[in-house]
Amino acid sequence: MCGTCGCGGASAETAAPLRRRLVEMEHDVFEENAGHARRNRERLARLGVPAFNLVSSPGSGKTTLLERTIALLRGRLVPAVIEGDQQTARDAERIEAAGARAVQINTGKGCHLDALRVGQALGELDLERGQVVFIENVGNLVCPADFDLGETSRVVLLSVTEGEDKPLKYPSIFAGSQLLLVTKIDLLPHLDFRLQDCLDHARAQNPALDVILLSSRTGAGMEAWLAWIAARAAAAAKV
Amino acid sequence: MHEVGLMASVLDRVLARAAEEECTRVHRVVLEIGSRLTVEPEALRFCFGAMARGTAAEGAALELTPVAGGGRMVIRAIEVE
Repeated sequence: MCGTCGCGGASAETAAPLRRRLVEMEHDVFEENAGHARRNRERLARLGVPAFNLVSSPGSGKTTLLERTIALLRGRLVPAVIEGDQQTARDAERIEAAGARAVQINTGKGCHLDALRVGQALGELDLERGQVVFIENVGNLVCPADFDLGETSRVVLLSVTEGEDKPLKYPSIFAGSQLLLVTKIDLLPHLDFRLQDCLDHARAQNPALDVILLSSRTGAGMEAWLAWIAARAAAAAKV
Repeated sequence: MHEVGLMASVLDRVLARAAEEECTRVHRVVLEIGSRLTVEPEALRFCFGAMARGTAAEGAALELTPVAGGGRMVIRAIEVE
């Protein structure tokens, strides 16, 4: 029977379904990124330099935290920053004004940094022992969760103005991070933010998550954050 | 939000493999999706359908198989002709 209209005539289509076949494959779409991430991790390990991937929604205070951190690290560790944004070099300019070397990556329409571009930026930074790298990812609680950059640790920021249920709404990014920084805690007296609920929700996604409460504005919690960085820098330098 | 980029990679790979097999039509793509990924099945289908237009994979069915706990997106098979 003709495959086109069901008429009795023979046609070229009759043989077509027989040529259909299933070809098995095994191709991970993330494999290319994973390869670049592996190379970044090896390069950082060779140098003894830790790298922290900072992720959060836009406006949680990543750049302000980095400005304060750079100032406080002076005399202890030499920071370098990779800035990811869709557009502009504004953040890289802020970081350089604060006194650290910065490389800006503009992702254009892209919603996350990937390991290839981070690897290129690492090359531009001329890193050496005694340095620490901060990678400020594109402000987005969704997409950066899927892309390993080869970082030592992933740090997720959540500001108290965002609501305590963010870890429930965006579980992947909390599940894949090692440290939660709850930022802008100086604003707590003015908000109905339920801090304990927030921490419970975050730990439900990731029981091993470290937590530091801080305010870049008042400096509260900054010493704990610096100690967390220093411990990882010491571990990276030992390898 | 990164579904477009991911599906562009999937489509590239599928079309390349179909060409290697000397096939001119792709009827079905079997894709495994790790549950940890922050991708939306409907967005994946939409992107794939839109990008496949005018290629050998136009109109192909996209079969999505969820995998618990994984962070990978793996092309498992393609049905070709």
